[in-house]
Amino acid sequence: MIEFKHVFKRYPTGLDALKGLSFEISKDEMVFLTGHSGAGKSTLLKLITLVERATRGVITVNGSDLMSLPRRKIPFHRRDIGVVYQDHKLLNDRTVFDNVALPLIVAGEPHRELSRRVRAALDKVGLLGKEKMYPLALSGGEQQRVGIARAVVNRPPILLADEPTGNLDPELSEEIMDLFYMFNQHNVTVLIATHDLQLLGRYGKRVLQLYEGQLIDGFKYHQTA
Amino acid sequence: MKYLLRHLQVFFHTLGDICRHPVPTLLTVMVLGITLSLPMGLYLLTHNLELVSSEWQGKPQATVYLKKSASDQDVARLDNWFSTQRSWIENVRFVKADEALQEFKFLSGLGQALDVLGENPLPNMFILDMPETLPVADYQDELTQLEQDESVEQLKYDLEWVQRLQAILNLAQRTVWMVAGLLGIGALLIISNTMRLSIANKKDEITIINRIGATNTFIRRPFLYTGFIQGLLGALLAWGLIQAGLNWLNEPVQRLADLYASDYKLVGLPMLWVLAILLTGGLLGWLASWVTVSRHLAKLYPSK
Ligand SMILES: Nc1ncnc2c1ncn2[C@@H]1O[C@H](COP(=O)(O)OP(=O)(O)OP(=O)(O)O)[C@@H](O)[C@H]1O
Ligand SMILES: [Mg+2]
Repeated sequence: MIEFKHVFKRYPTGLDALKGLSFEISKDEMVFLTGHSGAGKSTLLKLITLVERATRGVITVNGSDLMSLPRRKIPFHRRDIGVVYQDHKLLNDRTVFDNVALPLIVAGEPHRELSRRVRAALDKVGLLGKEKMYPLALSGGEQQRVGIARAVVNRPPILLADEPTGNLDPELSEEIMDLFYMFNQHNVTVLIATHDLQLLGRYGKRVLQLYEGQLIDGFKYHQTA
Repeated sequence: MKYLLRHLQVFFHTLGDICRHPVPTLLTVMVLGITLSLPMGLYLLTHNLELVSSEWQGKPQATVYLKKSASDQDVARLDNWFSTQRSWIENVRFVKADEALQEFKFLSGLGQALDVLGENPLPNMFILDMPETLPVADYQDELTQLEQDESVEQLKYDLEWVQRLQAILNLAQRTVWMVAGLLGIGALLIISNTMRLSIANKKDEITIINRIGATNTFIRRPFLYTGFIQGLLGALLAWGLIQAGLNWLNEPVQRLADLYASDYKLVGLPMLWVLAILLTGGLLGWLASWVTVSRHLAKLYPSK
């Protein structure tokens, strides 16, 4: 589903954020991405959504070769990937409903489908009934759930998250992580960048560990509880 | 059809957005309206000046008052002489004393009050039109000669000031054109800057929608509509301001025109012009939005 081969990323500042990454994430897999601050986690995710272009190497996502994907196709590529951000990135002047509906509207979904699918997404994250509220009136955890609902509303095959629990207390973090786990159970390929090593243990999933832009051998946390 | 429907949707959504948050739009529209009204108003001013100066035959004129004692032969002799002076006299009109009195009664409004004078106080007179382009100096000698003629009581002419006024009007017109042109350019800059600011406020929103997978066309569309609507409303406001200005000026202008026995009227903008201005306003708004949004969008795509 996601394949990196000898991928390098050098920022215009001259900084090498990623140095020769190679890994593969197969369909329906759930993988955690960890590493120290500045290790290159966000950069890796940005390469997958083509917010940044790799300097060298081969990246294949969902069957398309990202290195040669023309700019005009980028929007369509992004529609196949749901992304959840640490700071939610919601539109604060629009209701929860409008925020979640946005990917559908952007993709030109027929209007009559909107309501049903937005509700379905909100239902999955446990926010049904808050459609009319504005993001700032919600708690941090709730805002993050809106972000997740928006990421999954058009049922993308891939779900990425960049420190989705970074701003939440442990209990809320667990709930959010459980949501990702649930989506993975429903055949969504999930890649989560996180600092939260304790949380990882619960799921027994593969962990990619970055160190200064390079991968340390992949290993697996086993369920401890 | 589906395409049209989508456009209509965005259009009404944009309208709805504007109605929900009217203040920023109102401010933008006011800035646009006032900026557009200045060059338009100045244009109207020159246009009206042009009309005034052409209606009012800005030609130099001289009035030759004859002596009471002047006989018909004297009149004929002068008339003859005038016909030999075509190089500086364009037109000659002889006004008999009686006609002159009638005209004076009518214009002065004194009417019957003049009847008590019994005798007509006005003499016969010639009215001469001179070409406006000819300098007075060229026929100063002839005028002096005329003034000294035995049958001429008095020669009155207002020549220089007519020509000076003509020159001043020309200058005023050019100045106004220049200022109107500058203000027009200023309006363009202000419009694009206003659009730039209103889009700067939405940068985060644009970025988020871009990350969700919106095409540039999709992201641009509401901004283009907003720009178009704001430009249109701005032009409408400019037109309203000008119309109000005209109404306000109309009464004193009428009074002044009456005093000069002229049927001059202030002209407003012709309908075709109004349409053109509204459309231009809308298109400017559209264009300014297009440029600003596109420039921001270009930054959202990665380079190697
Ligand atoms: N746009 C950019 N331009 C230049 N350098 C950048 C840019 N983005 C990131 N970097 C640098 O690349 C390196 C990797 O950054 P990245 O954001 O991927 O780290 P990270 O693993 O996500 O860190 P954190 O855990 O703090 O979020 C850092 O040294 C960072 O300073
Ligand atoms: Mg990061």
